[in-house]
Amino acid sequence: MKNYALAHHPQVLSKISSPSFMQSTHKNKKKTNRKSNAKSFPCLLEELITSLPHVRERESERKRISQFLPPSSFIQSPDAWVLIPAMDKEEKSVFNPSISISFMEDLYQTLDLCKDDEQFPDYFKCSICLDLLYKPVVLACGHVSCFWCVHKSMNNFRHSRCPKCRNEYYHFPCICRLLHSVFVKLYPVAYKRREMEVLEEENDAHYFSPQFEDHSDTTVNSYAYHASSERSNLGGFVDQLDCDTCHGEATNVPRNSNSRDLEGDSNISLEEKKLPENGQVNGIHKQLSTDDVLCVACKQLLLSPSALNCGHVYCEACVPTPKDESIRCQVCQSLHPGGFPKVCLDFDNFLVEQFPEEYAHQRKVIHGSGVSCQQKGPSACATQVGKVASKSSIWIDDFTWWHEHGPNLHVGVGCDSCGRYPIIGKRYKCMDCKEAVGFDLCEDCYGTSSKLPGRFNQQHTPEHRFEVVQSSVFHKIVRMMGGQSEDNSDASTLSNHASEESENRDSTA
Amino acid sequence: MLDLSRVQKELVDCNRDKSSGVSIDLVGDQLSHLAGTISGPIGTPYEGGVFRIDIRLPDGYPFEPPKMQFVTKVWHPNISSQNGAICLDILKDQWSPALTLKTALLSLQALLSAPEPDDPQDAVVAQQYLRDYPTFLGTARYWTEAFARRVSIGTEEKVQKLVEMGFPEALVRTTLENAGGDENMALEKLCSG
Repeated sequence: MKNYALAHHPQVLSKISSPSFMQSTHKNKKKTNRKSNAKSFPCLLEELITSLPHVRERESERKRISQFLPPSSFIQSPDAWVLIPAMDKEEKSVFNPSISISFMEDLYQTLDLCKDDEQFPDYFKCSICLDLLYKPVVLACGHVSCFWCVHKSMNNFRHSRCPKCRNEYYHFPCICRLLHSVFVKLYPVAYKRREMEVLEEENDAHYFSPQFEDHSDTTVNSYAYHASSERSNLGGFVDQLDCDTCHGEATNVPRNSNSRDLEGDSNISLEEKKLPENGQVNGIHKQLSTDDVLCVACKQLLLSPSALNCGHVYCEACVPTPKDESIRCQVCQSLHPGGFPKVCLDFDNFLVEQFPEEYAHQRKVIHGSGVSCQQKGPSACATQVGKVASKSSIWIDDFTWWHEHGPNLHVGVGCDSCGRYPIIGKRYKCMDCKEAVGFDLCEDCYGTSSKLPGRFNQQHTPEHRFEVVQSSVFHKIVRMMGGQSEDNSDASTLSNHASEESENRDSTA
Repeated sequence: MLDLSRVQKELVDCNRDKSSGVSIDLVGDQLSHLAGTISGPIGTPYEGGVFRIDIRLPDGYPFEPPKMQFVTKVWHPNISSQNGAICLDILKDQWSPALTLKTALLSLQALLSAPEPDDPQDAVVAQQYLRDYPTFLGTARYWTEAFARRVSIGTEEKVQKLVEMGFPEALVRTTLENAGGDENMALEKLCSG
């Protein structure tokens, strides 16, 4: 518990995330040792593997992992860093020891980095990166993956399909802040490791996912900005925090205040009082309470949680369902495209496991009061399966689709507001955003007043100007085929600001 | 760039589970070139065979499918008898990043037990499968015997195994000899007395 609280102390966090901390950790000490005393590389590897707690317990496990050690017939050459395998002559000529060592180093690091991790259940393992979900995104079918895993698996040209169930979807959902804060609480070490890994990749690629940590003062991003302004509105009314759990920003408040309180000895007892008696061994699980997993609508424990496109989580029965128009989130007022969201079963399983009594109670209350939980229409997956027709008709479909949408298709460009990917129709590109990823809106989002922050941590503000950009792909093809010189390359600039435009539209409507 | 950490996790995961009948090994030193092994499914002409599959991971893996090809020669309508190319949708347009090398190899194992002659890779094999099934079975079995036979364990080990079951050594040796070295047949004979 102490570890947990400390790990979330703002100062400690900044320390952990600073590169100097990384260098001072024992892992890296070991690494430097390894280099200075290179002779014992295989021994150290062996040592590391045996030091993994679950491996130490099970000898068989050790044997399995040691398959990834260099072949037992490795001989150490006088120059300790060059391992020469005792193989046949032909094989030896192919074998490149330097690559093998780099592979072993990679594996070493992977194992090394993971060994401090908390164990997390399989349903919180991303099916794409096979690691703990990081910045989880819930698709309309209820399946969860990491932010980047979902984004990378999306189709640049047409509809995307869920990697797990192949359900068709068109919109890249927002990160589920509720699940994010649950993971921060449950698996601080593993989640921190994931954060470091992903941040490294993002730095290399110069593309960034939304940053949530409001204690990192250096990155004043839209989310953090939003969070701080909201907090000042709250003015310290902790009671209000519960209703905003899904906002995520709010959940950071009690967490930080707790860790700050810990500095004063008098408050430690208060901290301990909060813990439920049936806490688990490592003490981390004690931190998660039902207050962290409330429905944004009914403010009760989530029963069959379903996430909307905006990332807010409702009980299945609480999802607002207007009869004639599409679903709109009660919290952020953004539209939920597509049909009724499916229950996120992985999250549901977790809630049942984590809060068995409360969940059973909640279920009894809901069913007792006669509120129907069976709002499910025909399953989206089932309808999709039904759609799969013979190959020839798919080709005809493809052709008509391209004929219809091809001219307006913006390959690989998504809307930063609703998440439509790729944008089909008019594309409004921000002229003032400096980020490599750019900031784009689809026609519908450009016309509405809701201006959500960008999906990739852009510093976009409502004052930025937009320009209409034509789809370049199709015109290139046309030009190549017909030699026509359609002069669509220069985009028409919109003089008026987006915000003014939307205001005008709102007033006329 | 190839997601190395995912491939490492897959390798550790797959080789931890010995009961699945599939395994993955490193061929050289790069994680982008692997070799998979699947055992022939029981009740098919491929039973008793061990099939080796060359796996190459493109840079886009897991968002692009791995390139798989049979190294062991196999007589199957959806696998080329010439170069081992495989006709399987999940290795092409139906690939999903949630699939793994292990699930892909298991799918290949399933493909061995359920050929799809209507969507063939090798037209000759598919024709034979549709027109003359017994000959197909014979050829497939022969190819398995000829190219995919598991390296059999030594006679001494078989004797040792049967002796451990409680049969006298001399009897075990003669029965094994009579059964042509077939361990299971010998065991049956020993049991029936």
